[in-house]
Amino acid sequence: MFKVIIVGSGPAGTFAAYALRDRNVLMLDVGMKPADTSGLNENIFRLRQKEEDMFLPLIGEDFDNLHNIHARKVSLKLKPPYMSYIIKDWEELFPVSSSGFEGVTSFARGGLANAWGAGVYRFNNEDLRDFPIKMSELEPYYDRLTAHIGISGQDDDLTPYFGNAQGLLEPPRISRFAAEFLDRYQKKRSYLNERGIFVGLPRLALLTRKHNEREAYKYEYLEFFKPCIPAVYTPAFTLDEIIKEQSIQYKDNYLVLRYRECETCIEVVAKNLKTGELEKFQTKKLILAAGALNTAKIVLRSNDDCVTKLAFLDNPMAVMLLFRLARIGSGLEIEGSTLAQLNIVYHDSNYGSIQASLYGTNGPLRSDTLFDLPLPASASLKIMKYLAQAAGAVMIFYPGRWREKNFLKLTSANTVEVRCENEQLGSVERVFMHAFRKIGYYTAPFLFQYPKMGQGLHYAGMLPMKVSPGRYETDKDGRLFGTRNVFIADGACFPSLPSKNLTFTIMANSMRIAESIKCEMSA
Amino acid sequence: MALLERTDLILEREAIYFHSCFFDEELSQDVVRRYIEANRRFLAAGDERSRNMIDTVILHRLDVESVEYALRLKEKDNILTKKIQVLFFLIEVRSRYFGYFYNCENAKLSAGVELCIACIMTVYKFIKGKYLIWRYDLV
Repeated sequence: MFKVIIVGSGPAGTFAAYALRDRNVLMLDVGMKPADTSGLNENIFRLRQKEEDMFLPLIGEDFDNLHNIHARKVSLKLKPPYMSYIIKDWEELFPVSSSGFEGVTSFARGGLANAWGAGVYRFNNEDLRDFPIKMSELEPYYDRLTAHIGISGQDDDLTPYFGNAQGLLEPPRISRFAAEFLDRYQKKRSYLNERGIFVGLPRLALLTRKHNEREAYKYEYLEFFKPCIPAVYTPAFTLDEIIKEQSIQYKDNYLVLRYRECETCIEVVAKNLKTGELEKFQTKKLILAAGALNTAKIVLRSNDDCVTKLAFLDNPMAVMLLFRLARIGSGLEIEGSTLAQLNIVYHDSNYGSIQASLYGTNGPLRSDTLFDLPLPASASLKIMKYLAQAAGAVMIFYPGRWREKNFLKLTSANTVEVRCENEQLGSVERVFMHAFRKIGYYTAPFLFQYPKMGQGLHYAGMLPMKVSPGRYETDKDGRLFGTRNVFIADGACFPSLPSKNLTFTIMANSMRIAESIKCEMSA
Repeated sequence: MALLERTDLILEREAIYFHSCFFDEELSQDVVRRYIEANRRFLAAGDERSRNMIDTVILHRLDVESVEYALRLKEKDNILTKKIQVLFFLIEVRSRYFGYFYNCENAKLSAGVELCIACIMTVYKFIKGKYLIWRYDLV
């Protein structure tokens, strides 16, 4: 019998395992792995000019990158051939019937964080308003993670919002478009600050110098095409480390279906995906960290409950294109990154603090978005060619709030039904549109896009932490109501979603939960 | 087998014609092969009307860019747009086409001229596309 079984290897599973290493821990995981990416070891634009044909690494033998032309649309980062393993077979392993939901789940080793934007943001007390914990309880874990991962950033106008800047590595180089934006913000700072707008550099899990044997970032624009770039942290790195040290046992090719708690132990039933057989594992304590959607499914299935509707949260998103006319015709910057270049925080009377990130437009292949413009193909080609360096995409994450219409439930066929509706957005975009015009950056309402719910990939809220939990809720240490030793460590236990990437807090919170389990075990 | 070969021939002709409407390059046989394969895998099943529309465009050597643009404004996910998008993906990853997609030097003047031409062409292509769709009963 194991002392602890952890289900899933994403940010929550990995950091629960990290906190509990050398404690007779078994991790059960499907664990899809990336292919050999040795063909992509140089700057993407240099390679594309040098190599006559980049079909295999950029489109793929099985035409993976054409996915959105013929199938349900997924994030542009999840379909290039070396990245597609992140969502491989997800629809077979996690069948969903949905209305209004356009998300995905991952069964890859390291989970969806293999394709994350590497934004690491501490939740402050305002963000934790609905949580039964305070920022001070997460702070020690944020600090440990900062030292472990290596986070770049600096003390600037966003420090009051992002928190402690101690221990950060120097910030990465940003694009000329973003640098000019920051410069013009500084000049009109008081005007923008009076309107509640603050701009600064992002906090990124990106190494600007060598750290824990990982090399510094090389500005090769590879993030859309190559997974596990050493300088861009993903939980899979930590998982590989602890598996190599043999401080946990790791079994891949197992899909956990349900658990049953009895007097002396918990029995976990998992499907061996190689043999198709169901296998049973026994443990004292069970940590569910399979990703919010899958964790919720396992809990409902273990309770044979096809009736209850659990809350479904995701950050509603808005994307606005922003132009700097003076930069039209500027040459391509061969070296750079596709990660966030700047962060923008806006204090809104209705939503509270809203965080937005400014990205460049050099990430995916141009053919991905060429036909989204309302122009003939050759005109779109010219626009992209000459306007790309004059454009940026501002991605706004609105807070994810509980709404009765958005829910998840199990069906009698053991599939999951997700229903959600897009919210009416637009107020923050309009504020930005007027404010940024003052500093020479232009946009218009027809350039605003609203991705469907689920595309934010920030799923949470199904089994929320509460001070006094009820059915399908957890206590502040992640213990599921009605169980003695079943814990929820991933986003499913977040009672609300602030306007911030949640991954860093998932890592910190799962470490906190694992530490409390460790104390309980020692006692 | 004969039917398959015929379909391949049609797709090859399609790829070459579509390509010639956008680029002054000779289309590589690798791209043709991949275009055929991608069509076979993902875009094979089209209704009769869609097939007729594609056949008419090629038979009469219509301005495919105008037709595609007018169709796309009407229905985003039409078969012609998908086929041309597949072709664009396949050529974008070849070094010979890099200059069509990326501007490597500062070129403010030529950018201004090219963008003005693109704006004028947009209006022209829209009107022409609408006319061709009506004239050849493409939808």
